[in-house]
Amino acid sequence: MRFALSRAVAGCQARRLRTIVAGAPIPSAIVVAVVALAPLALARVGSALGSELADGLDSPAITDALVLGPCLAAAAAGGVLAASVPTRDALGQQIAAGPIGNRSVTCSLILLPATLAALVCVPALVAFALSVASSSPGGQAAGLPLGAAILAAVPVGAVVAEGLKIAAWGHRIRLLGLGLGLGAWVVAGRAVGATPLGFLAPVSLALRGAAPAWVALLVACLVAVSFGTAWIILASTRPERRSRARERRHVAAAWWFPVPAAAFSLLARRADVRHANVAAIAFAVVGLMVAVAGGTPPPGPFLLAGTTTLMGSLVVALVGFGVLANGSWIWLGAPRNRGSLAAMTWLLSLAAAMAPVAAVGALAAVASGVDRSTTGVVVVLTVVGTAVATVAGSLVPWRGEAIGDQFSSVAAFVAVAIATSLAVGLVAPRLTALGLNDPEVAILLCCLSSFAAVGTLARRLTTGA
Amino acid sequence: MSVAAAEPALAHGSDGRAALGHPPVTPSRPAPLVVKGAAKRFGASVALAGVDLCVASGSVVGLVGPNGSGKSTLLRAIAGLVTLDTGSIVVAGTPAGSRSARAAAALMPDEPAGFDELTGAEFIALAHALWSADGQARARSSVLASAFAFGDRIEQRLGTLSRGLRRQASAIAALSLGASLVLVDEATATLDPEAVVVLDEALAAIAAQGAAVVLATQDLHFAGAVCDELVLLHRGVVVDHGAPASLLNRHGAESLEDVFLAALGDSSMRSRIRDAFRAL
Repeated sequence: MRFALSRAVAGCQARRLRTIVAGAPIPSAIVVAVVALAPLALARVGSALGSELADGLDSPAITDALVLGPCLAAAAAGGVLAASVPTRDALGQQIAAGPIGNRSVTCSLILLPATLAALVCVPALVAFALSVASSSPGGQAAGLPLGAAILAAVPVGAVVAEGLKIAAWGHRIRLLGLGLGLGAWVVAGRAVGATPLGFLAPVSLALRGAAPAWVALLVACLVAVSFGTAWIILASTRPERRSRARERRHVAAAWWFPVPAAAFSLLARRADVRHANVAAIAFAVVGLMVAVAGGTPPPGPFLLAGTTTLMGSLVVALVGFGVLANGSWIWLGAPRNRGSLAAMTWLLSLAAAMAPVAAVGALAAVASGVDRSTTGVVVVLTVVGTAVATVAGSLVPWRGEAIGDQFSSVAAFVAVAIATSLAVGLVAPRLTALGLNDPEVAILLCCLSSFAAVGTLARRLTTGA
Repeated sequence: MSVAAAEPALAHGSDGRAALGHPPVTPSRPAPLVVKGAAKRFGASVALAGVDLCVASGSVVGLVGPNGSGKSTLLRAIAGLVTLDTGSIVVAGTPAGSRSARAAAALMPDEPAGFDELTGAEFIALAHALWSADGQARARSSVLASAFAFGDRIEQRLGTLSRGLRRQASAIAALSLGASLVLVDEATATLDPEAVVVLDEALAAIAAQGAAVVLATQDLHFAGAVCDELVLLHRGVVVDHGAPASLLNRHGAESLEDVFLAALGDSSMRSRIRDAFRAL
């Protein structure tokens, strides 16, 4: 009965998804159709990007940036996933007390969600990478290692986030291990002339045609497998957090705004929210330093830092409905308007998502400069991204330690984000053709997405999780 | 007592109570549970502050105490779900939390969470698979399901059941494993009177077969009826322990409730509270 737990967990996750699909068949069908069409759309985006960059794809700076940008975002996503991965407690006390190894528990919990996420992401990613690479000196074949490198960056980010988390709990030996690993990464990158890319540097060489694509692919796959294994080992041997005697500070606003203060405390005190933000901010700052040190012209560093931070700060919106659903007995039982509760949750989520982006963005603006239009782009991305996360988190609630909630919600976020991107890509040019200028289109997008988020939250609060 | 797998039925011990076909425990086996100096803090709050406890095979030990006295933390530590700050817990000769200790213990938790999407039957089968339970486990679970009158709910998903019914599913899974140590948290919470009777009989049957039972409860009547020994915990410390009858004698009390209040040093609580409410 070696796989009894994996089968049971996957069965629960599959049944949960089936319930969600049965409850909303048309939106589900739309999301599935969009995800199925995404590879075609991303292939077009990739080939347009490849054509624009074609002249510079023999330059190390351009190919390094082409690999580093998506890899950094993927690493931040990996860090966020690692920070929020469910623990043994997700099995419930009775089964958690069973004679099962922690590694089996970790593998069981992530098996189905990781497979589904791979089914959603990999085709689109490969289509994008192949079409970008078709304009490079390495040819289309160099796209495979590029796609593999982006995938490999996910477990790399997960390992870094896991290491940081454990180190922050005061386990110095693991911090030393993390330092040694980072050192090896830098040395490997330096040997090939692309320090930040580390073991993934051959991918940049393959894009320039300076190394065979199969070698780069092999290296990227090895990185993916070894870091994936390392993450599973780290996550399953995670030591218990050392107890620290500390006083919980009261929220000063609790007396004046009891409901928003309670909702804010619930969101801010969630470990997964905090860890995801810390991981994304760490990757954003590192990316910013690399971009500035590498002489990337503005607004590149600002965009890189802002969007990478956003990967973590969106988690607060993703968990919003789950937090409400956990305490539904008080939220729904109280004589309160559900619309105002939904609007308040949305505003809190938006503020919480915006704050880290603003902080890191300010740092990036000081370090490398930024213009108003780029700031506007990041603001719109934050508002629309928060709305997408709120909608995804309302459809597939992230309730904390329930089985597979985290990964299922993230997979829902990816699907809704892809659907939103395609919808915006179709609608925005037509609005511009109708005579609206870019800021007006941006404001319209922000308003529409906000209404969608509040509407979905209010509806789900009425119908229940 | 052995029970035929094909024809599950309650066997009867010498005291007339039912026996659930648990394997007999031989005297050469190590004690099912030895706790020495168990201490645990959660931030600033002390959950356990040096608890010692030894539970022999075939005995039913009840942990009683006010909310927050450390009963559930102690059970969770024994089950390997919480790591102690200091002290040790040995389950069937191996440290708590090790795979063999986990295999030797079965927990019926207070909060039966997780696996909402599995049916009761699937959940019980999962527990049997994880604990590598033998064929007898299925027979025991049939007996228990029948005793709890859970048979017609067994194909329902756990998420659709009331908390009391979920606890019944949890009880069937935990008590059918044939573990040498059975841990029951908040034993009677949310269970209906019939289910409490079944639990009482099932725990007695398991103990009669040589397994040790440690239960935490706020139901002093149940504790007095089921337990061979009561351990009174207060603020993470054992303040008194003994057989229910000996506790009553020692404190010159008429009920376990009075023993409880006396052990906590608050015998006048009832009159004090009454006066406070009258003053409102």
